[in-house]
Amino acid sequence: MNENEKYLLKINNLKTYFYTLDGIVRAVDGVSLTLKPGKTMGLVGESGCGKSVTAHSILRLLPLKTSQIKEGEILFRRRNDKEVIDLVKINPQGKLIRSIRGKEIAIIFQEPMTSLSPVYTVGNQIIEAILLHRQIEPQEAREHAIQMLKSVGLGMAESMIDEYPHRLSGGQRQRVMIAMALSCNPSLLIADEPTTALDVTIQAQIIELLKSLQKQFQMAVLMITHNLGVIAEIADEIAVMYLGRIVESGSLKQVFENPLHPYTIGLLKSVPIIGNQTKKRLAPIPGSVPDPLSVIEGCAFRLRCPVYKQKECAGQEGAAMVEVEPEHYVRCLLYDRDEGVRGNEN
Amino acid sequence: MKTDMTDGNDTVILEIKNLTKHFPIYRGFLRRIVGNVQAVNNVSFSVKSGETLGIVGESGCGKTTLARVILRAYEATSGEVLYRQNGEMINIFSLKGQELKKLRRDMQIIFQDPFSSLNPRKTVMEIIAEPLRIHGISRGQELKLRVGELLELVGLNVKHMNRYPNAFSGGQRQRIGIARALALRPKLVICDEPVSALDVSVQAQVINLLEDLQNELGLTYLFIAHDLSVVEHISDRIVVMYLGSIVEMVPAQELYKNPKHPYTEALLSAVPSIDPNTHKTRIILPGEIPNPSDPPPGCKFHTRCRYAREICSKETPKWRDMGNDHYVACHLADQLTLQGITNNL
Repeated sequence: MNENEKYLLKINNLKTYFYTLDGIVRAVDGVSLTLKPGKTMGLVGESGCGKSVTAHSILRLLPLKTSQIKEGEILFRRRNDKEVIDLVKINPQGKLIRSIRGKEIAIIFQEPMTSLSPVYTVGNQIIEAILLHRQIEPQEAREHAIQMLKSVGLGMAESMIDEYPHRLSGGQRQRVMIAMALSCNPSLLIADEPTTALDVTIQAQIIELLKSLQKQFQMAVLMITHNLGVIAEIADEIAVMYLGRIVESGSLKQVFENPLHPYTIGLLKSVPIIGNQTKKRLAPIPGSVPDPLSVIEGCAFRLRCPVYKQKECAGQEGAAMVEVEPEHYVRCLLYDRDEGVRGNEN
Repeated sequence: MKTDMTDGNDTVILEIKNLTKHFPIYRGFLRRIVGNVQAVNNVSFSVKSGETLGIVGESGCGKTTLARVILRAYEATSGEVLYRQNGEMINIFSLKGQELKKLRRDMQIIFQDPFSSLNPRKTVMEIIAEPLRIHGISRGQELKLRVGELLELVGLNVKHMNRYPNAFSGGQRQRIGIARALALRPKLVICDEPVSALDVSVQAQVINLLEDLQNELGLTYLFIAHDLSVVEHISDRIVVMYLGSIVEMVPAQELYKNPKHPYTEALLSAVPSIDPNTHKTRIILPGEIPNPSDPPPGCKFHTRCRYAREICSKETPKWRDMGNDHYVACHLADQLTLQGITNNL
């Protein structure tokens, strides 16, 4: 198979900077990612690591005045003509991106409470999205909207379509958001912390729903979350982000069973596992995420890294991404040697 | 630091008896009461000195209301809360004025949101010193020393005493909140979702800190959270709440091995696991939590329970002792074999 046929979205060395009064925030600082059609990529990281900014860069939803994509390309394969376009190069307010947003790439936001407009009915908001992208009659669009509400598991879709969002619970609103996102049958769905604001039992419902819809609609999902458990449930591949960079990526199994980067290892160790020995001390990562305005030379994680503190980590660019085993990459000097694998005894 | 262990380990420090809190719903021009939100309904349990009692449940199940009623931030509709002071159980609801103020020294709370629970216009020094001033415990140089001591205790730099909360990260702010709660040397600390607003790596730091402080100061925790894995990690015993009532009370190790209530089973199965190899059968609860102003009759969970029988919608289940300190409110408790979490480690 041709190398180019494989990917749906390919991000190369993306750098998105924000210009604030206090200085430059390098929110995304050299991210590369490849999404395959029909697969789920999990993007994990703590708050402020740049995962949402990466998502917003793809859709070009960033504030125009204060932010800029400095470098890099975001290659996206269009659905019909199989043509590949670079989303970085197109006008963020132009017609082209608007025909992609919502139609080919859709997004679900974290807050189901604030991402629906309170002054329009649920139906209005879904129908708007459908009519924007399709040449169909309003009546037909309404029927399609009802269909979508049913497919996300909202039973009384016929009556719910005329409800205002405040009448719905958090889980129902998130379902409405998903229905809206899927109404134009996108080839890529970006889910930005879709379950964070929900209760565990509702979270389980939404995860199951996303899984089944993904199969049904044959779409790729970019799942952004800080919850490692959610990622483990849903993702095929994982990329771990820290301070604007991807520090480790690989398949779900590779990253969870054989984590390589000290940050990934630390993250996995700091989560209490249910059913595990109680009262066993957790192993937290020391310190906290550095100030986003600060510029850290070399490896961004070295200030908190328990394994390696030597001067090499501080050197200029830090480590490059190294392929330790097939498709399993890590950005750490521990592995950036000729021998490759070291420090594997975790 | 002196550890107060004179009470021994098994003495009950707090006892809650048939506690109920209803919030009236007013409607119309005359502000008539048209209904009640039954936030906490006939809840009874006791907390032993030095233990951590976890309270889990989804949003709206009444866990925070329960905490606030215990602290008398809300007045209870009925029931009693007994607290051990100088070897005697006293009813908190009968206290007034000076006596109540004295009691408040013993009971403190750590809030969920470290961003809204600290006054942005006060320095860390002022925030932590406030309870000490109000209770007239120390002043002047002594006050400053005590605040410094507290900051050290929670792992913050004493030099940062004069900074404002905005200079601190979420985890550090939560530490300030903990220092403030510990300022009066309380015996009972209510932790209301203390780590749910924090990042994973910082969350573990704060959990460890809370555990260390408990060992060092002999604190008793009432630990409220919705994250089962956190609660299970830190608690000795766990209370599971659903729609204002307790459905199960169980030692932590028993909870995941041997749940007795169908709701607990569903909660456990809903927790996403970080081990990609465990393929548990997930129980998806249908629907949502019913409206607490109009709870279903009989067992409140029967509308979403997959084992529900006729009796469940008619009679309220009794509180049953299943042995081994395990209590459950379910009609079918001894007929069902429920699935816990089996760990293959």
